[in-house]
Amino acid sequence: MKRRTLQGFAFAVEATTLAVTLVMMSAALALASGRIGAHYRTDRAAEARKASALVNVFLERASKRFAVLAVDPAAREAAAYFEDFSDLYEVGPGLLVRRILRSAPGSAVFTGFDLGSSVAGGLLIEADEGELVTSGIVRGVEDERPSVYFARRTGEAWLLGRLEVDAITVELARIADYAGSVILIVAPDGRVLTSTRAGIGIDILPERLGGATEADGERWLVGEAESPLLRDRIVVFTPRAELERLLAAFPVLGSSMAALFLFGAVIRSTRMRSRFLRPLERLSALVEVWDPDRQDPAALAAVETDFREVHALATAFVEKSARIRDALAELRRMDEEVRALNAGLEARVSERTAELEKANQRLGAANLELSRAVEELTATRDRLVYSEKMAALGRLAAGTAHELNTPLGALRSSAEFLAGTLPAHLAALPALMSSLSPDDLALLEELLRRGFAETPDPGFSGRRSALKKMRAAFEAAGSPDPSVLADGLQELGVHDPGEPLVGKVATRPRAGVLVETACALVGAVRSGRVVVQAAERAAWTVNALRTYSRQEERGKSLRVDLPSDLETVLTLLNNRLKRGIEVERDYGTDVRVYGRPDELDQVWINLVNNAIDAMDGAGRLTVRTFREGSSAIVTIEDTGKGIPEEVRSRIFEPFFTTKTEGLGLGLGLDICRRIIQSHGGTLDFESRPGRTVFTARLPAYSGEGAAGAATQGRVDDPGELPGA
Amino acid sequence: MTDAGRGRRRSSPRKLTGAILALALVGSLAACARPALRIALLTKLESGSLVGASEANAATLFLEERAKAGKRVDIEVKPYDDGWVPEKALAAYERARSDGFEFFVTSHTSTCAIGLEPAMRRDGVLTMVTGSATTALSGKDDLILRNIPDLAYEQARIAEYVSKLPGTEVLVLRDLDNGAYTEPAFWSFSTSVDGKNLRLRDIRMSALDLEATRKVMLERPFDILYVLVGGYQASAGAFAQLALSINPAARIVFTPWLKTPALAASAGPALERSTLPSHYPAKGQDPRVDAYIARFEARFGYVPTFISLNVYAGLEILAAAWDSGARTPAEFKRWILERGVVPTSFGFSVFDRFGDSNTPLVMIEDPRREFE
Repeated sequence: MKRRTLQGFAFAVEATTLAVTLVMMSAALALASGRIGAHYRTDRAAEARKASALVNVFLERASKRFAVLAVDPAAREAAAYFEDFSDLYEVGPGLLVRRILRSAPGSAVFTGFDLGSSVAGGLLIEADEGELVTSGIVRGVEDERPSVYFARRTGEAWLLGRLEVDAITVELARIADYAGSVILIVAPDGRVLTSTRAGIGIDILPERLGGATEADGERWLVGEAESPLLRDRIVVFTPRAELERLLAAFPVLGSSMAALFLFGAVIRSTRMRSRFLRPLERLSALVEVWDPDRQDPAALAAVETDFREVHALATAFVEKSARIRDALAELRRMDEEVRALNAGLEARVSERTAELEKANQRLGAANLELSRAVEELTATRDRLVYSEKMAALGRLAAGTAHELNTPLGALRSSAEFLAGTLPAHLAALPALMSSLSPDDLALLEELLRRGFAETPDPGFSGRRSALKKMRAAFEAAGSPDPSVLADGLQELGVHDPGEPLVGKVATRPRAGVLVETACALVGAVRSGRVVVQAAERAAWTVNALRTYSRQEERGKSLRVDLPSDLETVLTLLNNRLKRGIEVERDYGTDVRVYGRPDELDQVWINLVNNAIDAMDGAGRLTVRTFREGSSAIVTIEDTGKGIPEEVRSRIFEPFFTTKTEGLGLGLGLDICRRIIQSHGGTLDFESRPGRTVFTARLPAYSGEGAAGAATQGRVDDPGELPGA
Repeated sequence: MTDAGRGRRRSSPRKLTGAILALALVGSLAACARPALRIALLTKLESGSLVGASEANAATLFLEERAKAGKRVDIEVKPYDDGWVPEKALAAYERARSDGFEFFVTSHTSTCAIGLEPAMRRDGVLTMVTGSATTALSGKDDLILRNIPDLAYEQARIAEYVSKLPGTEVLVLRDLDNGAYTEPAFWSFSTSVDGKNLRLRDIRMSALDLEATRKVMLERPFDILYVLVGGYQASAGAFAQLALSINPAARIVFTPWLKTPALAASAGPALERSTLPSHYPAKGQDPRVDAYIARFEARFGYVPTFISLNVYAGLEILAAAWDSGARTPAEFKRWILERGVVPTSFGFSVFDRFGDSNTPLVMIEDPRREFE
């Protein structure tokens, strides 16, 4: 950046200040002179009006006095004292001056003077009795001076008075504002009638001068006013030189002030240079050549100045210079120290670097070992998880196998029954049928209908009591084999000894064969039903297992209907549940989530298994699903012994278990929680003796947006689950 | 030096030459526009007075008519007020000189003319005298010219007229205020008059004493009253009335210089018994004079004095010399005197070898028509 010098700046400031001051001063003076000039011009018209007023005063006063003289003969005797008039005459017939009442020195008029050829004579002719007439300004016949004549007829004579305009002119000159002013009385035709000063070179004035004119080599400002009594114009000529003389003071004043300002600026600049700039330059020069190593800074203080600021600058520089010199010395010493330290530091850094390299190698080895350990741990964990899964699967498989074993047993026994009993009866059936009487056939048919009909079971004691009574009845009836008949009827669903069918059987001789045949046929039908039911049961179990396995859906996120899912789990665990555990289902509508069903099934199996375990095979398991806002809730409640207070805070820890060794790895709840969390939900519990409830809260399915919640992780890859 | 710099250097002389030419052109135009013949008119400028104003306006009329005639507007006439007072006249002359004038036309009295003569002779200015008839200026080979007859010639003509009038007693009232004119005039008159008894009474018109004048008139009977006065026309008229009231049969003779309306106003009926010598023919006798008065009255609204005609004619003579190529006062004088007879709007002005003019006087015996 280009920098200016302080001196140049000071000069610029001075020049600018001076220029602005001069411009403002010039403007002020120009404004003042302009206003004065305008006022001066306006004043000319006022001056003319003032002159006109004075003329009027003179004429009116003269008119009044002339009237006194005209009407009062006694006053005429004292006419010599009527100084308004230079001349007063009594004019007789023939316009001859009859008596001179007052006469100006040097007047050419004498007693007997014939006024007939003069203007005054013409005026006298105009004057009527009692009426004053005036002449306007004319040249007096007495001495050719400008005069105004007053005339009034009084009987046969006239009174004539002359007022010398010079008397007015003298007064006009006296009231003029400026000595050089000239006041003119100008006739309507423009002729100059009289003037306070002769010879301004204008004898005929134009109608209007327009405020200014030139005459006699001078420029004049003109003011005009009408004089109604004279019917003339009063014109005031004021030399423009008067105004210019007045205005001339302004340039002088301006020049003086400008010179004063300029002088002041020069003085200021000079003093500024000598007292301020020079010391600064001196200081600057000294600083420029000052060698802090060899020169004493005190030499700089030798700069002489009147200004505290400059002195303070020099003093401050001296102090700072001393400090700089000391600081430089300190810097040099520190530099040497730093160099020495640096040399030692480099050696130590090399040493440390070598040590660090060794440590790094050790750390590398340790890290490698650690990685291996981690890998082993991961593998171990995977194995453990796998074991847990296998254990759970084993338990499930055991339960499922048992569940399949029951219908299979039923199928086998039914099949054995059908295969062992039915062929003999079927072989004997045609012969029997052909040997039976219609009544026997009717009884057989009735027995078969009765066996095929659904009959309420009176229970063990009811059946036993009914059996005894029917046996007694047949014995009483003399039936050949009362026990067979009673058992057979009871097999066919007859439990009331009082039924008519019992009586019919008791009375028919071939009732035994008929009952036995009916029982065989009904048994065959019932075995068929058992086969169907067992097959359905097995198919149901297999279907649940297939649903559970879902090999084709594993890892995929789907819409999951939680009641259906839970029902599958309950089916799979039915083997454990049916041994004394009452299952209560309370499924709400539209309780669906979007998730991975295989993982969720694992959660429900874990929770139900834990509940079954907690209840020791007896109790009530309540499974609920319902919607709560945007959440789908699953609660699994048991009436077990509850979770001890001291372990509640740890049940979600990996490998923590309260079960007997071999029944679990302690990974179940940890995995359950991770699975629920991976679906964007939470898993909590509350427990007290007799009631433990696990609550899974999942985002309810509400369209495609729910998909993301179930894609965050998988249960078989817990290492990738959130929070793992 | 760069090419641009050389270009600027080359253009500078051209600019300088152009500037010089422009200045020269402006100077030439200014010189052409400036009036070349500058004439100072020394006269009495008194507001309301026809004397003086008539002369100043004659100059105005001359310039206007010259312009109308299509001649060059290269003459300036500037009036200076000398009040017809010698001291004031000298001051006015000095003022005009300081303004650079070296051509003068004067209409003042002889007293003023005599007072100015040394200065004019010293300065070598050319003067055309139109209102001073003093013989003090006559017969001198100088630059003071005169287009009116001198008083010797004038008084000789008046004396010839008076000599022929009936009666022998002549009362001469002489104004000592204008002694430069009246004293040599009386001498000329007295030496020229024949067969009359002259009774001279000196008066001062500036301090008029009619009673004393009346006593003079009553002392002895007179047949002719000669009012030897150059100014104060009103008072001169009063003398005529006064004389007529004492001696109704008397003849009153005025000088040519009293031919103004003021005389008519104050003389009243005495004009019937008056004779007014005139440098110009009586009204109606010369159409050129009548035409001038008519033009003047139309232009300024009043009838001028006869000196106005002298001034107009004097300006015509100077302009003719100027138009003929005269430039210096000496050239003007030479041009005028070589010709001797110079035509004017009123006839001719005749100059002798000293620049004096001897135009015949006309005696107007009933001058009332002159002022109607």
